[in-house]
Amino acid sequence: MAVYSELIKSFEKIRDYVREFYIFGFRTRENYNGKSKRTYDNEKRRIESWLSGYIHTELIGHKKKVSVKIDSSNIYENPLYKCYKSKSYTDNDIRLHFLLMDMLNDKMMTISEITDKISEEYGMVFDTQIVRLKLKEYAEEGLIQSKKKGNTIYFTKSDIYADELLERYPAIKDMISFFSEEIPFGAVGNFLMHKADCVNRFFTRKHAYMVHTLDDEVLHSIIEAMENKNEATLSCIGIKHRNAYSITAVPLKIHSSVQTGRNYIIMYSSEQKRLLSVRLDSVKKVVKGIYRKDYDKYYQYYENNLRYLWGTSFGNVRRFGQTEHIHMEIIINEVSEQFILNRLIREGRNGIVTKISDGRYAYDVDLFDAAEASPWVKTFIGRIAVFETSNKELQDRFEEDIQMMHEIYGE
Amino acid sequence: MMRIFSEIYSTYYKITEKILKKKTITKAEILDIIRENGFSETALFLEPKLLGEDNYGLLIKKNGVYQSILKKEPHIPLTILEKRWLCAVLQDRKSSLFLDKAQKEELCSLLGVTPLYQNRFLHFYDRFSDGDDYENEQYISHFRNILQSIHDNTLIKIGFNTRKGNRVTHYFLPLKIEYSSKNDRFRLHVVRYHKNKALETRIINLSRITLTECTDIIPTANYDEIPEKREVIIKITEERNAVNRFMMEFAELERISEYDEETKECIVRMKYDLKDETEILIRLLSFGPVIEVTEPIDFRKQMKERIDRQFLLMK
Repeated sequence: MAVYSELIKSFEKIRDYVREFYIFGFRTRENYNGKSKRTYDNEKRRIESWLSGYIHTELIGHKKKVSVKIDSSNIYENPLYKCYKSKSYTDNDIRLHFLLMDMLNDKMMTISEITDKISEEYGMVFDTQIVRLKLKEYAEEGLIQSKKKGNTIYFTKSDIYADELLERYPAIKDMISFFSEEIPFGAVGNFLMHKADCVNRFFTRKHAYMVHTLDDEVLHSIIEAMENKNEATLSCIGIKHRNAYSITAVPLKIHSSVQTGRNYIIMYSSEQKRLLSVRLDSVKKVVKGIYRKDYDKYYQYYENNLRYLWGTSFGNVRRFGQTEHIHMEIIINEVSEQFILNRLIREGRNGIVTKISDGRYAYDVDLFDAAEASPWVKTFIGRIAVFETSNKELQDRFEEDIQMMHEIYGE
Repeated sequence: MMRIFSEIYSTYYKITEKILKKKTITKAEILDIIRENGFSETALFLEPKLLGEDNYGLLIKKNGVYQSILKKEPHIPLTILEKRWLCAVLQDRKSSLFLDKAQKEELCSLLGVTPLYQNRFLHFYDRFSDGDDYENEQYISHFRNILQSIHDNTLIKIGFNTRKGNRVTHYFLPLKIEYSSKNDRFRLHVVRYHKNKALETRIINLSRITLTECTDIIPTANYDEIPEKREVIIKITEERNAVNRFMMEFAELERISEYDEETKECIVRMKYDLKDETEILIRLLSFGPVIEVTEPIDFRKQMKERIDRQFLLMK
């Protein structure tokens, strides 16, 4: 049986647990079907260790539930970045890391010279092949540079350092502090902060979804596919029904919500001949596919359709391409409630706002899926004089919802 | 292949690096570094690998203290991933708040890599359309003056237009700069001072600032005001995937949740800043009848008032 360690080999293994503890935080060990109790206990112990200080435990009867409790408005460093700093390694990995960084300072050496020097000067013996693999890996990561002279390859340490950059451009300290909490890939900025021994003391966030960092590895693969105009095959677990499925399509854009915390990949499916969206946090694995020479054509198609997209829904599959209309009339006090009108304009995306009369404004929009705008429409509850939509189901539901809410709060 | 999840960015490597930077170090000091920088159980696992029988061999013990076997202090260069991230950041409009165009170009060329991502790959579809103008010279100048004052811990004279259109000028101690991704806007948290007396805390939108003048006045009086937090209790049903949607949307706020298997309802106790109450209220309204505010009564009453008004409008 493997000995327990704080470190892990695969990030994917803990991604769901961290999300579960952070987003929901009400499940106990018994709710984790399909996972062994030992697995749950180990992952819980790791997360408790990484995120100590943010862990909240509570007993429900004799069952213990664990949650991660964070008030993001008072956070200067996303605690979830710690999850990225838990990768396991071998003794040889860490030995070679520090030895190579030490001996290749301002020196160019061959593999045999490096292997010999490790033995002579540091008293450690490594197989040349192990050194070769580490050098190759570090050249890919950029810690080491290689140069070929004749048939011989020479290695040296890369020469850009965080502290030297900060000395040359002092203002980037604040810049890195700020952007290390931004999406996407803020975790990488955090690595840089730690390399430069910087601490963010001044920048905080409002409306920040720290949990997005857990998707950065997946996002990186998708962005690479977009950059290279490749198709991609995504292996996913559905958010709602936990069903496994995979999809092969052309990734075109990341649609990120700053209000609901959900991120989507907008893709074009050649098979279905339509645009579709996939929740980023449902993606478990990305396999890069073939280069699509017609990528730009699909992208243009997406751009042409963007104006009918409220968020990420392209509507009913059978009615793809058809739009639904929303007409809403809002009542405001012209003197004291101009901010409501401002809200309509700045939040209404592609909709058009027109003045009907003093204190009465109309909002009109055509969308692939009018139901997607329904939560936003409801933020105007108390002021909606007219709500009309060509989506009959939505029309009925809106009226029923108001009736139900009136009953709930009726007493 | 570049990896984000890699041991080269790991806590254990970083701790080892810190220890190897010391010429000589005692066991107690090593343990202090581990405790200060590690996870809560790191000492249990890392200490034996640094000092135990089966250790990494990076430290040798001489005269009761430990010494690094390295010839120099470890100095780790930037990885390609870090350089590419920095390059991507330089493309963001907000980077102009920190660096001038020429500096950005120079830095980008020094880094010599392609950006990790292009801003055009991302679309923040529900971001408000009236965000701050980060490339406006006045805005940049005010932002930098404020940053300077925060660094120096000195008062700054700030003139700004209030929401009602009044112009106000006072001396403030800037505390922190808050960025809202939803509003695409910076807000400055300050303490107002008058004759070296701290009077009140305020939040000023950067875009409303018309004047900033740094001073060399270091305030002697402190002002600690913790923002007033309130708690709202919400009942959420399983309908329309509401629990999932709600927990995700309000992930930014501190919450404690319970799920009742029998009723299939989730009860959430959620904390928020009092100043954000209206915003929280309309966000809760957006969920419709799948959630219900149960407490506090005054919050529930505000919900009810709006719903009653709407009910009458539809009659």
